[in-house]
Amino acid sequence: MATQDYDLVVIGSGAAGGMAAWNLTRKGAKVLMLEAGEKYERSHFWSHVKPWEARERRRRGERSPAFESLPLRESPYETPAGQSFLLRRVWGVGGKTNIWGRVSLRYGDLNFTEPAIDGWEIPWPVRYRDIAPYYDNVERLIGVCGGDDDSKFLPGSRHHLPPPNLRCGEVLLRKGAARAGYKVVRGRRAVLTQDHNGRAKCHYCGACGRGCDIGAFFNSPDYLLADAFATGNLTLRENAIVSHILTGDDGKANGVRYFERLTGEERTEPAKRVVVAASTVDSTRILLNSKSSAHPNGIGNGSDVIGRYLCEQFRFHVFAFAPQLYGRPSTNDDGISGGHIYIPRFESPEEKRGYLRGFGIQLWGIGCGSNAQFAERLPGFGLELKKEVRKRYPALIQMHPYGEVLPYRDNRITVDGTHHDRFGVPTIRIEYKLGENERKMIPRMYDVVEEMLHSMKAEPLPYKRGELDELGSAIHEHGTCRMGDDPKKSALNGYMQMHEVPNVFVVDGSGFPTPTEKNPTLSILAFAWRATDHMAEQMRLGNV
Amino acid sequence: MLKTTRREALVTIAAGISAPALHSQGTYEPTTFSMEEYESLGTLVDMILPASDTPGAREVGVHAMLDEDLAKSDEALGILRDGLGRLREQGFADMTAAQRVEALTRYSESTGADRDFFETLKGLTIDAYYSTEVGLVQELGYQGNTYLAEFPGCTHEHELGEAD
Repeated sequence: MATQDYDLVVIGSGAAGGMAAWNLTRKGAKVLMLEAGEKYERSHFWSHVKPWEARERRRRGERSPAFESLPLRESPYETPAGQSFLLRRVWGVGGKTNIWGRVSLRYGDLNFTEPAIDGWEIPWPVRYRDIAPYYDNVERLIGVCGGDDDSKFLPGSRHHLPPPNLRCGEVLLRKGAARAGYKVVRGRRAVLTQDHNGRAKCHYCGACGRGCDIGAFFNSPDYLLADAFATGNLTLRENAIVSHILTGDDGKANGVRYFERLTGEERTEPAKRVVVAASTVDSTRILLNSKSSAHPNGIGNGSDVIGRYLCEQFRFHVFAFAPQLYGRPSTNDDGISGGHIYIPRFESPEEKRGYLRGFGIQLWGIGCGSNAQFAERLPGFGLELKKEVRKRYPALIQMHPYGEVLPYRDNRITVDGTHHDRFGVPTIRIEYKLGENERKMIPRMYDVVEEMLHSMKAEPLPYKRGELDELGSAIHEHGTCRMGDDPKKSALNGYMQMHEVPNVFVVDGSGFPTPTEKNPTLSILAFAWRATDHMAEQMRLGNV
Repeated sequence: MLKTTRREALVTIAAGISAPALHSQGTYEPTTFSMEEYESLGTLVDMILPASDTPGAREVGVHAMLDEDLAKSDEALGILRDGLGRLREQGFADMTAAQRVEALTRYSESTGADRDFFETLKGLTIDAYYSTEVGLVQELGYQGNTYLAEFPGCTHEHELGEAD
């Protein structure tokens, strides 16, 4: 096929790029997808390799798939001194969906409108009623297990697969939280708890983080790209590291420049339309590097918002033990891996709290696990320590609050050209810190965690109040190419189409103006579906 | 040269953690630590997690695992080396068992470099020991990472007890 036969180029093959390819190819569009890495062979996943077997394998020189090493090697990033940001990326077919946390929480209308209520930065150009049908579509397509709860903080769904049974520690934590007045709901995860759309259900091996050997949780290659290939309309080019979107005299995109990772060769691919879906940080790198006379500040960046307003969630982890479970026989607590319960946000903007927005609490790691790292923080050594570890092993409780970080203009990604990758392309610098609002939220988060632990009579491991996990560790970057109604304050319209460059759509998490307190992948899928519905319609009308 | 006892070798093999570079004579030669350091390390890891009704850290080869794992580490290896050096100067090899416990207790209750040494040694020992089949399955009863048709979850009646 001659290259000019493609109707559009999609950059990236993860949740956003996969959805774009899936939706557009089934509507008949010829799609070329460029992916920086390679396909992961499912047979190479170490899903069923026990810890002691893993050591044996490593001794033989075998390695599990190195999901995260490629981008750091090929496209490193910098941060200012003393201002670290943990950037975790997966370059490879399917991106982070190969190993993602699978938490699938709908954003509520409050998430979209709250900036208008509290006045901090721009609201979303989309309301819950606009996106709800797409949440329905996505959940039906990929399969999400969960409960029947429904609230303004976490809208319900009629499409959930049955939720998994609770572990002992989760039963106790739920009771304790309820006693303290907090509502605990079933976790929602894109894991198949029953056969779904011809795919086999989960076998509860608990190794999702190493990749699923049977594809029982949503991942782009199995759930999106396979169907897209079946249409005959998708061409995938691996090891293609995109550096620039090229534009014509009219300012519209007319091509993409990329580098062949294996040979280092520079290539140019003509493109009638471009869908950017390389994940927030790499999409931003590409957009900012795409400078031309029509776009001196990076493509579609006359507003100077691209790269700014980087935001995600901050989080911390508290470990404790449920004494009710001390010394009990161990159980297999793998389940669907991750928490089977969740504590949604519970604070309204109307309440006087001293801070804006809010937090939810994730609850993974409860019960018998595949290590005993908690023991490092028990006192002493010797037989007494060994006895304590065994006694506490079935009783482990973990709480992981996630707080929303406001979008700040100076939290930003830049490509100032001081550092380059091996192809000579400027690499990124990330400047990111928390503000007053987050600092005010932290003590309240600790209070709530302590209240629940106290109420369930749990014994916490020592922790330092106020301590946070490294910034970036939530892996939910957003904001750097945000959508909005006002082209002076946003780069994309509500359909994730560039205000200034109508034949470019940016359909990943970079378009989200706020991070919310929730995990984003379900919403990325819903918004990418909606955006590409709009794009297909505009193509049909001859507008793009 | 340290001789791996026949029993140690057998336990190690049974646990599926055959020590690295295990020679046919049953001798393990450390490549990261000196033989003297390695011997002290074996004593120390066993003091952290000794034999009980299950084997201790030395018997499952935790010191060999650390020798292997720390080959490419700089920080942790440096901390262990420094600490082992200080213990050597204090005559650790010739101490009685009670004196050794006293020395390690002192380290655990101190601050600064001695404390770092204790924490590092303890953390590495815990991570290694509970990643072995002996530590994880025999000692803790781990049953995970297997195939289940259904996930039963909690099948007990757990009560919180009276509210305060």
